[in-house]
Amino acid sequence: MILSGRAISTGEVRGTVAKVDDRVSFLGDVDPETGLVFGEKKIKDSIFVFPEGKGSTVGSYVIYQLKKNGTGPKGIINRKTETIVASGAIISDIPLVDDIDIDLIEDGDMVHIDGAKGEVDILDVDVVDVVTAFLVRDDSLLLFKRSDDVRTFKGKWAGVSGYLEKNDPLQQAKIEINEETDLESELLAEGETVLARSGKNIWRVHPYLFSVEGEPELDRENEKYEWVRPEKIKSRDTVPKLWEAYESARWSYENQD
Amino acid sequence: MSPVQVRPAALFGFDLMHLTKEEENILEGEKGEGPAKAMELLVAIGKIYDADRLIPIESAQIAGVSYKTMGDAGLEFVQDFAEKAQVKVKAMLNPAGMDLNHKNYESDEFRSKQIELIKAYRELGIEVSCTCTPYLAGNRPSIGTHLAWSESSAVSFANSVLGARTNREGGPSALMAAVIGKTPNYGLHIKENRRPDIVYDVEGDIPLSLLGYLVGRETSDEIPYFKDISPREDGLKTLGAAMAATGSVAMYHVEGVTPEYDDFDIGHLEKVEIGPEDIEEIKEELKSKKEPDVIVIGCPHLSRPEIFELADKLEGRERKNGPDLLVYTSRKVMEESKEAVRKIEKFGSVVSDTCMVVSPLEDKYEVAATDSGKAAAYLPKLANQKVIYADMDTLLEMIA
Repeated sequence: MILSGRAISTGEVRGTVAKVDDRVSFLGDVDPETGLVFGEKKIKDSIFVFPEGKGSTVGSYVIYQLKKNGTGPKGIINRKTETIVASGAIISDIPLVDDIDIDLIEDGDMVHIDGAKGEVDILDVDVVDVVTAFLVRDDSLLLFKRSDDVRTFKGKWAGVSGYLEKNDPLQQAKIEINEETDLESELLAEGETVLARSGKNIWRVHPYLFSVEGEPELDRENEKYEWVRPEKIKSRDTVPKLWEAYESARWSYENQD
Repeated sequence: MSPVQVRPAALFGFDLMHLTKEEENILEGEKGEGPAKAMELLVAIGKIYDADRLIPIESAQIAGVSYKTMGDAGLEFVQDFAEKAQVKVKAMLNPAGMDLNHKNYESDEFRSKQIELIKAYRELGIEVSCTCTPYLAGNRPSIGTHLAWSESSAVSFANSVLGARTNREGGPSALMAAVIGKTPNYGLHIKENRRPDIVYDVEGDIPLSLLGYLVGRETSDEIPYFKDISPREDGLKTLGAAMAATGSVAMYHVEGVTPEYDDFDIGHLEKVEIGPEDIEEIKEELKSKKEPDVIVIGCPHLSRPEIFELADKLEGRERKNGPDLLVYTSRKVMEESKEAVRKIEKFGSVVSDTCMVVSPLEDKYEVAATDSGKAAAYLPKLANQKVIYADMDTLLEMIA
């Protein structure tokens, strides 16, 4: 799965991901002798994935020292690179790509960085296309609790969803609405796809917004439903990136001609 | 010179940095490895901040000079890079970790490492004048001039008091800008971004260092606009330095004083009143039960008028027991003020090329008293000192 970001420091490299979820101050958080981050995470010869740098600009030179000592990472991936890390990577010839959704990358993944193109290839993951339809009525949205009969995400809250088989996504969305709710629906908008990581799969979610009338009749895929205000998605235990998928569809709806 | 795009515009419309053919050639290595690296770094920073192009700079001021902060990592980098590049514009250095001519409290090993680092910078073509006040040491840019300076108080002074334009550069980005002679066009290089964000109405008499200490903490990286203060240049230096230390204020305006205060409409801005009662809390924080073992003055480096004023205050007084006195200034000001320096040296040391924050003060002292808001902000973290803030007269009472 190739993700496109920004080219910050050139060079191509392949390696195993060492990931931390906090912002990193290279001066202070990283030991240039051992290559340990936060005293525990080893980044030697890794592809070091972290959200963003912070702290003293001397951090750039710590990256250089890691490189000189042979204790540093082979490549870096950031959500957002700032000047300290960008400067350090460039003066140390370490390929760096930013503007990457690092939630899609897990510790231990094998990845390939192309620093000139600004691309990150996550190897050994399967891309699975799914549709998610958000059904709305007035100011409310239908959420479904997935039953124990489904293969994935049992007990999680979701929209109407299903695998994309041979149909085009819109057609599949309509089929799923019909099967899972038996409601009459009218298409409002189609959002940009949203990516979500789960195990060795990256789900490529095709989000849709439909308006409906009446109450759904559930099939065995869902055990119950609830009408909620859309913001409630954020506080529920949902399938991955459900809120982002909803936002994508809503954004298209509000910005269409 | 037709513009060449670095790479196809990415999906979302950012990344539209344009390079001239000449810049493109440097990036591809026509002028060698060092300039190519420098160009790569400037282009990356340009992308991060959505700059449209590179613009020429008149001078650079480079941080990362003290061996105390740079360590072997920084030393190695500068030494390696000096073999591959030369600066193209006037470039000066931030304070080093010691007076280059006189041994003080630093170790011999520290001295030799520091000298190696300075030598590497000199090989890059950089002037060895180590000061946070380049504008008092022969580099006073005029209004509208573009710069790549990195020391936070110098950046604040250049933008606010001189009306020159610079972002707060990191050590590497200022160095690379000096090698190319250009910097990415974003942030404070663009007039619109120099607009004030918040108005401070100052009532009563508040020391400028404490006013800066407070406002820096409150405003983070906004641009403050002050009313009802009318400091002279040395006061502006003090105010800006403190704000840049407790916040990351890189520019401010003072009504009726600074050159760009009248260029923007401030009618709609949030207004905050500050009075003497607002700094009581800070005064409490900056007290220590312990007696100081050193008084440190000169953050930022003292100007010539400040050196003279200090000498006058000490004139005719007797040194009594009490803390050591260390006074920091630039080499240029020191050389231009020999008589006054001699008077001060009856009471303590006048030191150049370095300062209390970037030298290993902690090797000799534990409790430092200062009149600088900036030093008060940095000494606990960077020199492991307990800090006492007091005004100049109170400080001098302790020793004479």
